[in-house]
Amino acid sequence: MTLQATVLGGSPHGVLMKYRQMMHEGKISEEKYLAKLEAQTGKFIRFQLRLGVNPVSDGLLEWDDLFAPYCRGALAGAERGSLIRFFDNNVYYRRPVITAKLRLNSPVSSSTLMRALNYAAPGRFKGFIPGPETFVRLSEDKYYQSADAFVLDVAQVLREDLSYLIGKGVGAVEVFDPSLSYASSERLTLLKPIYQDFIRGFEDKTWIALPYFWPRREVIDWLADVGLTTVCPDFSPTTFHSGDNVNDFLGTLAALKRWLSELSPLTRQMGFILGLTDSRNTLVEQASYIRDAVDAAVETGAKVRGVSNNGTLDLLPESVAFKKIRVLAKAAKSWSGGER
Amino acid sequence: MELLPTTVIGSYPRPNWLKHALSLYRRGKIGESELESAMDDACKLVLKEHELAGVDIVTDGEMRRDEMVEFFAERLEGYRFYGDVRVWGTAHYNKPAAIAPIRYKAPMLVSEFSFARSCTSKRVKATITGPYTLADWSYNEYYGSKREFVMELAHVVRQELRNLVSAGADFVQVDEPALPTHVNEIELAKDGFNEAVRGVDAKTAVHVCYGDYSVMLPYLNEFNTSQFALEFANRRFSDLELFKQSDFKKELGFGVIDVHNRRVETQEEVEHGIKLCLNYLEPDKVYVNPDCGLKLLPKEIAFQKLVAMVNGTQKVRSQLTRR
Ligand SMILES: [Zn+2]
Repeated sequence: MTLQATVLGGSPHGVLMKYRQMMHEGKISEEKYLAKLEAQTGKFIRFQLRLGVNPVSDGLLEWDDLFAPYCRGALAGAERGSLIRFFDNNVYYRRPVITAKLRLNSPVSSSTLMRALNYAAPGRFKGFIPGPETFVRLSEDKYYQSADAFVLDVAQVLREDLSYLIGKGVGAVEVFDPSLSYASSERLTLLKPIYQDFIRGFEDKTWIALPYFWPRREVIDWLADVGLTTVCPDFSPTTFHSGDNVNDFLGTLAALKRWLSELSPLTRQMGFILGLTDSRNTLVEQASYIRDAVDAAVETGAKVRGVSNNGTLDLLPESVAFKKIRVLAKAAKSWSGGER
Repeated sequence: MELLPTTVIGSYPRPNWLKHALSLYRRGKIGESELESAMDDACKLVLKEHELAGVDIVTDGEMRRDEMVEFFAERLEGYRFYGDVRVWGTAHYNKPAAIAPIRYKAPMLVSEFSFARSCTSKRVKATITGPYTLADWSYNEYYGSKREFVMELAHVVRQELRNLVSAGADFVQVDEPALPTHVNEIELAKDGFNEAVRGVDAKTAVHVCYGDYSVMLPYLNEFNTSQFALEFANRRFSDLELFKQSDFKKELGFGVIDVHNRRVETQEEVEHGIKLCLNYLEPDKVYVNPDCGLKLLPKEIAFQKLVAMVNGTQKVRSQLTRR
């Protein structure tokens, strides 16, 4: 059995932050900034390819936050609003403010994909979009006034992006959707047909990432019911301890095993990408810990497709983030090679 | 003291020449004493700008601090640094990691406070990052629980606060922007704060910004402080009714200036904001301040914003006294 290592969310922006700052201050031209963006994207993709990461991510190096590319013109009807903390992280995003009916002017991922495809074959690349529920929960709606109409339109425009990416032949699309983790049962019922339409025809290539919350059984069952085949839950110690990074690897591993041993018949059919490396703490996991966690998961009968970080690596210093990717890749390779 | 005292949260943009001096220092082109002298000059300039704008309670703009967690972590034992982490846009900091017990080494703010006080006749507010935020905005590779980490930092902050008071500080603002981050840890943040100010003989304020106030409101009256200085302009003066509903008993430092927007508020907007606030709180319970530190703005804009803040406040003041 082969285990894949993959990178969820974005990568630290590193030197690009400085370039972007210089561009804003008029010290360098936009062309110069874009050339650097291109170079850094290439560097990040080649780094993953060398390690055998599959599929690779472009690191979302031009995403200021989860919604910025949409609210800067790609999505008519959405503007950038006030600065808000992003879940329980010391990171902030600009809240989308919805002022008119949403309409996608152009696929947000087109420029990203163009750049990425210079370095990786489409099938080896993982696209990225925010999840509809997260988009809705983290926005300020001044137009729809009806929660149902709002999420319906958001799901439709995001589907256009999803369909663009899949049409280009990407290996997978990560749908970053932490807000699903706290949707009520009634809300999940309402969302079911909307998500079914959102992923229709793309069930096999759409991964739902659920960072920052320990997986809620009802939500994972719901995802299976909706027809999703791959889910990326957050099994990191920080998330196990509700945001408190106390490095409890043994406790987390035991909890992961307990959690997976109680899968329903439906979720037993789903593929799991286990979010094992903690993108909210600098302590670098041992490859042996990751292998142990995979062993424990496999023993429960869960379909383990791969291992990943738990959420965006942009929450870490670059040097640590890269170390964590290396460990993931090393663990996946050695596990697949039979080293248990 | 007049009604509606105006103040700042702390940080202020560094003058360009100070940035230049810092870059020369980092490249070894100037020495420590030259940099110190440039820092002293910058502090005098900021104090003067605060005075010129008409601010009642001033700071030195935290000229000597690169960042509010990094600055302290660099001066304590037990931390390690791995490199910059982005906070939003291109704003970033060198987020520290606790890798061993955190220990107090020597006073961190006493000399900067004493210097500022010697340069102005205005009341100077000392500002320090609170124990909960110091813990929450660091990585933890060492402590077995967040409580252990926070309480250790509370002892460190308490030591520093006592030293500041000995040096003459009579108003200290403890910055706890992380306070509303984890709903289940607000009690812990409160315990950390109360431990940090135990036996500290000075007026204190707690600064919080950019979070969900509703989750922290039930705890605020239990903080041993007289004031909460909060961001409100960014949220377009919403959430005030929550304070009324929760029987908020402290003074409110009311944020009327959006520090993440370069557009300078008009004095009418400031006036409007304060009046909204006064619908919910008595005027003698209200201080006026920007939402947060001004350091990310261009300096000229920061100054103009302070002028608008003071002018708008004066407008309301004169209306209150005419009543
Ligand atoms: Zn603040």
